Amino acid sequence: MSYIDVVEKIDIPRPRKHYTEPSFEEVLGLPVAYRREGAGEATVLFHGAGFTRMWLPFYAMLAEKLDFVAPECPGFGETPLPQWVRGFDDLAILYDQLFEQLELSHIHLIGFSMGGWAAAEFASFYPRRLKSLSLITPVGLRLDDDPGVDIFQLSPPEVMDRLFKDKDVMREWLPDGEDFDEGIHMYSEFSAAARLMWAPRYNLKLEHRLQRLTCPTQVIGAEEDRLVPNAMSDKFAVVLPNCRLIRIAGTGHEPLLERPRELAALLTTFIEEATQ
Amino acid sequence: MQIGYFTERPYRWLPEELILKNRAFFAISNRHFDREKAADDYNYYLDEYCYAEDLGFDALALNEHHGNPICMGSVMNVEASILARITSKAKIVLVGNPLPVLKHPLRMAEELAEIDLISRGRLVTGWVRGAGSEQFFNNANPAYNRELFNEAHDFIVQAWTKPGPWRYEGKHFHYRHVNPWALPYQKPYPPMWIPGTLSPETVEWSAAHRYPYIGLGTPLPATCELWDFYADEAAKHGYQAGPENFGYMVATAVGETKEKAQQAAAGFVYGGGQNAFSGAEFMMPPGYNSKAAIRTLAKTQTSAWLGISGQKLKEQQQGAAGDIDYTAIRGKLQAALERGQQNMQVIVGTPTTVIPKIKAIMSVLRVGIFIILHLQGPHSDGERRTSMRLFAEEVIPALKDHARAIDLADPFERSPGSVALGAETKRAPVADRGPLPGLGFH
Repeated sequence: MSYIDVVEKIDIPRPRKHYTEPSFEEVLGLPVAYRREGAGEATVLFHGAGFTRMWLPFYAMLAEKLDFVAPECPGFGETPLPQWVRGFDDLAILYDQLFEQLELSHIHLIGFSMGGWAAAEFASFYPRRLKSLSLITPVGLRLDDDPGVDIFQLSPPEVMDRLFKDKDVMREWLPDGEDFDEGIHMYSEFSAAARLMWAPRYNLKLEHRLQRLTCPTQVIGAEEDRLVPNAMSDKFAVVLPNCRLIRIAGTGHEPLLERPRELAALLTTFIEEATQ
Repeated sequence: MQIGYFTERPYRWLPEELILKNRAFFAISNRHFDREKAADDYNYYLDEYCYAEDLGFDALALNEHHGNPICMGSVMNVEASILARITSKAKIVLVGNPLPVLKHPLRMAEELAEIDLISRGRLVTGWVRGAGSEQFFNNANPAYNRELFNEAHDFIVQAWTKPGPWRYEGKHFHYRHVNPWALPYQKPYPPMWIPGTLSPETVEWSAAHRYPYIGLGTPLPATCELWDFYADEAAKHGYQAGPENFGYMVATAVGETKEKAQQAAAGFVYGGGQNAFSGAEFMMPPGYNSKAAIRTLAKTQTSAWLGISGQKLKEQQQGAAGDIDYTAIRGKLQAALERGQQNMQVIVGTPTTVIPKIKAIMSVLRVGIFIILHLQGPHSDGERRTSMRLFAEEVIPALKDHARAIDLADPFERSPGSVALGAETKRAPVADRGPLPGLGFH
């Protein structure tokens, strides 16, 4: 595998706030960008379809108590998108190999939104690698009644509006509308998301496969999620064995940015309990 | 010179405010669909293509869009099949089948072969990637659009040329028994013309395959650049591009008087016209455009005819907001129509005034194929036929003379890609920018 095979070699703009240089680990020929800080239980977070290239305040809060690792998904942040990444199964295999190389044999896994789907897929393939699984406003299951909005039919401002309950927080995190490079980068990240999630918008096999999990699991929903129906976290909580469901009051789909302290506390406590 | 007739076959019965309120034709609920009116329109448009043939148009061009009342050609091969039987001379030109969204290239090969057989070799087939909205309508993953396009095309060519049965094992398509009984009438297969707006990848691909490229109402200066790009690519493949490699389609309305022509042209902005083909949110689904293509699109502010423009891109990023002021919108649309006429993306007038404009386009772009995009909006059969007749009887002869005078060979007179170019030879110009300043382009 070489860069020749990479879909689009890209110049990646850097966000004005919170940007940090990532480390890179060459996995199956792909330089995977990741950020790692802190000490304690090894904990990995799979990000959602945006807000990449940053060491978020929420990450720093987790790194206060954990050995916290945040890889960037192929096609997101500074990890290139190779031709062979075409589904969540490819991601699961990539991450398994990454963890092997980073000597993360047993981990606590956190997945947010699209990363929640990726985490559920990883868990279904490699359940014995997990000490705990936390899904934050995840997607990936099929909802029988109301499938919710189609994120690919939303303009970026509509996505932003639906992500956040607290519009002051939203304004803090809005990308610069005049920064065309950033706009193109967002489009390109959404293109990577389309490879994974355009059709179908769910994996019917997950419901069956997730029965294999033996570790403690939790689903953290948001009470006022306007992007993904609450029924999604309800359903994950039913499908996942040993699962507790928590719904954070007064937040939208993005609790990482809206309620970092509360969310970090929930996660670290859960991870501590799961470790004992 | 091939002169073609093309209409989107608009559904003519939608109130304009409904379209303006939806901000686009795509995604208007089909509860507004009237089967009797649609049945009349489908039959009328078939008759209209026969009339175009009788009037002397060389080519009858069809297209296909999905879920969109701006174009009733939802399954263009159905119309092409009927035209194959009820017309007798004209080429049947498909611009084009949206390969990535159709998902079954073997069936496509069979359908097109039948059309070519029934028409006894009058099919000119073409391919498109499908508009952004069509990726939604057909649930086709836009991130694989280009892959699907290339693979489906390559497969169809093989299905037409490689004796079967054989097995096909590709990336997206898999067939265990390829042996279509119906093979094209034309050998080795029907000509292909590739329509496009501005995507450099499509131009590059067309040049590599020696397929004529048809600019869909793209602005003249940008089209010249595109021609140069095509010709440079052609040179890399060892041939000199010429008029036989290029076509142009432009919105055209002709009237007996200046006023009547303007009335006929009004439909080009009805409900927002082609700029309102679909809402910004459906225009560029993720992965549909490469980063390079997006940059090109953003630079070109006035590539109006498929509704892609810098403004739309900005809307895509910023979102459109606010209440609808219909009067203001209609004023803007009228202004856009006038601007379109000034920059020659809409050709309107009496035959006498239309002729020099189109001759100028032919001189600049040096095309072997010229196709009119005929009236849009809710015009009556009579209005449509008058404009067609005036164009055919009075404009076409002048254009044919002009083509001969400036040596515009069409793809049937000179096979595209047949003029060899040595590796050390500098290619000849393919566009003539000389007249541009006189036409108001600086």
